[in-house]
Amino acid sequence: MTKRRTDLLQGTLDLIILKALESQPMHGYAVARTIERVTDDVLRVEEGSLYPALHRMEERGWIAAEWGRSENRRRAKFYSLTETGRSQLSEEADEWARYARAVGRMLAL
Amino acid sequence: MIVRRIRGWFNRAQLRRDIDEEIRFHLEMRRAEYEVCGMSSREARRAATNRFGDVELIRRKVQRVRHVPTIHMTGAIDGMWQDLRFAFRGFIRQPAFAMFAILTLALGIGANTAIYSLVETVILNPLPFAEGDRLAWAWRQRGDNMMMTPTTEQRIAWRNAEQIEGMINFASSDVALRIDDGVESVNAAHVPPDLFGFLGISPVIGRALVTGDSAVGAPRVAMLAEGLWRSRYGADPQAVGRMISLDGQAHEVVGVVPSSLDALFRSGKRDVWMPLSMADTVRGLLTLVRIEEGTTFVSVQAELDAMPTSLEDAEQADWKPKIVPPHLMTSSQMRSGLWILLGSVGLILLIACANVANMLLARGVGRQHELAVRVALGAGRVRLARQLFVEALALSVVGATVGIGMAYAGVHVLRNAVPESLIELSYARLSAGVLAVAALLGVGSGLLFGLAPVLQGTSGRAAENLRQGVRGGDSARKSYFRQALVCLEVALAFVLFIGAGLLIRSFANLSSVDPGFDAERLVNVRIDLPGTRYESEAARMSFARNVLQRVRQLPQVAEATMAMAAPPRMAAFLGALEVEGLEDAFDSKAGVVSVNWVLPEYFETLGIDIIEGRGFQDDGEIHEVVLINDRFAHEAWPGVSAVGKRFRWKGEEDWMTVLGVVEDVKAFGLADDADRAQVYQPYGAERSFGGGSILVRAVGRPEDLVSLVRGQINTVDPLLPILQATTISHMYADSIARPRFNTILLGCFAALALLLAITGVYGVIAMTMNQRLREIGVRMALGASASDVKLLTLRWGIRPVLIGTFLGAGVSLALGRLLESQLFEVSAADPATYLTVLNVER
Repeated sequence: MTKRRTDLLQGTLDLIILKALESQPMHGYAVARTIERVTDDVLRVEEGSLYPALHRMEERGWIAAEWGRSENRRRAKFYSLTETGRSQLSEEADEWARYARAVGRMLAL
Repeated sequence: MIVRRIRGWFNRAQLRRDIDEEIRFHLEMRRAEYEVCGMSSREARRAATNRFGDVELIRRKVQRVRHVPTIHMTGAIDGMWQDLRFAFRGFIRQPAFAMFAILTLALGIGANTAIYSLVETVILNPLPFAEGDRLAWAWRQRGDNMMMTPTTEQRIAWRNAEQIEGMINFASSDVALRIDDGVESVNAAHVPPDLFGFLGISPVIGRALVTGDSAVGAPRVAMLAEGLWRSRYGADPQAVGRMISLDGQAHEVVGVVPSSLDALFRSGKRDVWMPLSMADTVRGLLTLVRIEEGTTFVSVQAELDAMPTSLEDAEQADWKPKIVPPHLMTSSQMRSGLWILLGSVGLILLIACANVANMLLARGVGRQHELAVRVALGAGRVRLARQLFVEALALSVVGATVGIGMAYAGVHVLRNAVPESLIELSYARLSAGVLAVAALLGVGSGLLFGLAPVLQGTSGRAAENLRQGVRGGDSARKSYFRQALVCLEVALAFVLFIGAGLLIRSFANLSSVDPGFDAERLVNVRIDLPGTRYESEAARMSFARNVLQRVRQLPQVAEATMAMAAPPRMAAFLGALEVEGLEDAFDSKAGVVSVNWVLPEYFETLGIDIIEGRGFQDDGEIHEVVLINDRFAHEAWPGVSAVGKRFRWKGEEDWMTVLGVVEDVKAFGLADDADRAQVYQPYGAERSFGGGSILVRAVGRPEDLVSLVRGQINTVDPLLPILQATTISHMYADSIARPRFNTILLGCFAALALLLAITGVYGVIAMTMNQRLREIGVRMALGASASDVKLLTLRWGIRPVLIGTFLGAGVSLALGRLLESQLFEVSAADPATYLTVLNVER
């Protein structure tokens, strides 16, 4: 049986990435894996699009990047949340919750 | 500002690498994951890539986010490579076009490379030694005349000059090299042992000469020249250590001198090199100086000028020291001739470029559809221009490579074909500098002719063409452009043709100059009678009589005589003359008096008429009597007979009496008019020296006689070296070798230019006709007759040719001045030449 996959809504990718990075710094691949695992593979992220988003947020100063060693001792770029990123995350999370509530109410009619 | 820019560039490059590495890392992690699940590594890689999306697109997106320009080096090179392959595929599809274009370019670039190598050898770098730009010749000069050998006093002064770092003197002579049971006259260089260090030259094998070699009582040693070592000793390393006999004395060969050192001698290549002190008879001492770093030849000259001259010898003090940069050793005519040739091949390359540009344009018309499609499919202007440039460059680089091959062959042929009088040309080679120039020409011409199709292909109308459907049409503007190119070609070819025509006429004038005597069927064998074996005048005389008697008995011989020298290699005397009864010294204008010592029958054998008085007599007086030429007689004693008059060399006691007056002779070559006064003294009179020329008039072909005369001489004295054995007409031909060389080359270049221009004109007319076929059809349908169409065609074809011709004539008239130095009794605006060329063009 194949699961139905939902295309990511515009603008939610940033939120998901920021959330994934909240607990600890990780490299891009780990971010992708985290999203797959936590959303149970329901949200289909075209992995490639992860990277423009990561770099865009780095440019904006939401996340900071640093080269380090991955679990298998390879050079990898690790991203971590900055203070700006943290407040951005809570702002976007609130926004999303409001949105979801609104849609939920509508559907509950 | 610049620093920040560079740092920015480095940062961007770093960022670009980081992005690539990050993506690579991701793909590899994913692949590893799939592999763990049991996929093969190929499947895993594909699956990873699929999941990632379009890698190239995402990389670009990230780069855009980070403001990194998306075009990067590897991409550009890949693209170029792709363009290059595309270009070559196109060439293979149209081999005739590619071959023709490449051949055209190869001819243009090859001719330029070859001529540039001559210019480099003769003018730009005539002494190819370490720091050769600080080397110069030093000699003494009075007016137009120069004297190579400095006095000892001057030599010391020059050596002590502050701006002169070092100086060497060397000389050359003919020596007799004993080979098997005969002897051969070879050219010897007599050099100080420090010459090799001075010029930074090491021997090919063996050792160089050392200071001890020139010490008194040291064992006699010599070095072989590379040329002789290769030709006679088969480049045998064992030649070092061998004993050879030079002028009857045994010398040990200690090493081999590289042929690059030949450039020191303009009188020809050397065969053996000996320490200077050993030379007992040297022709003249040459002086080469190295000036101090940071000084100029001009300032060194100023220092020498300021030096006090000894007042003891007024005659010597007249001769001023002169510093001469190496390229000025070559005659100014030779130099300007080479520049003219270089200019001509430059024009040829321009014609070739115009031709190839035309071919590319013609090809471009056929390709307009292809180009339009590419534009429509999103190929940018820049992209398209790059492709067209790459195509042009591919053509020119291949053309340049073939051209370098042609130049190599050409220079090789030239090296072996140049006559002795143009010896410096034989040192030409394709040096690194020459190859660099060839490469530059290749790229430069590629960019030049590549411009035309780029302008055409990327003009805004490409898309329009697609819409119009492919008519393969050609807009009027482009057609004009192509006609302008043809115009240019015709004009340039015309200029070259005028140049060649003028040179040919000038050369014809030169060849028909009367040497003043009958130079046909005359053999000249030069010998040296060494003072060691022919001490007395009587001994030399009896040898001469003996040889002449034997030679005259040969059935192939009409007449024979002997003289010190033979025209056109007469001895020149630089002293002034005093004419009895005249207050001032006789000014022989050019300052050169040619002198010869002759046997009485000399005038009859050579066919020089005695105009007045009488000739010498066999048993007559040989001292203080002379014959002089007509011109001298008229200038010194205008209006009266010169017979019986007296003159003497300035500074000498004895007067010489004129016995008779003879016809003028071209004593130094057909073009040379340097000598006004010619003086003949009896063979054996004062100032004459051992040896001379045996002159023999042949009954039949003179060439057959040369070896017979040699044989007779060696019967009388088997150990006598023959310095030279040739015919007088050959020597006269050699005296105009330079103009002949220039004429032949420029003639060839003009022919080449014409050929290129004709193909250019033909190509454009054919093209135009092809495109206007429909127009012609319409015209004929509307009632135009066949002859109308012919006229129309003629007009299309003839218009650019006519305009080109007029342009060319104008340019030629303007440039004519440049050629004047090369012309002999022809005006640079010679109407006959212009008319002839006009006819050819038609």
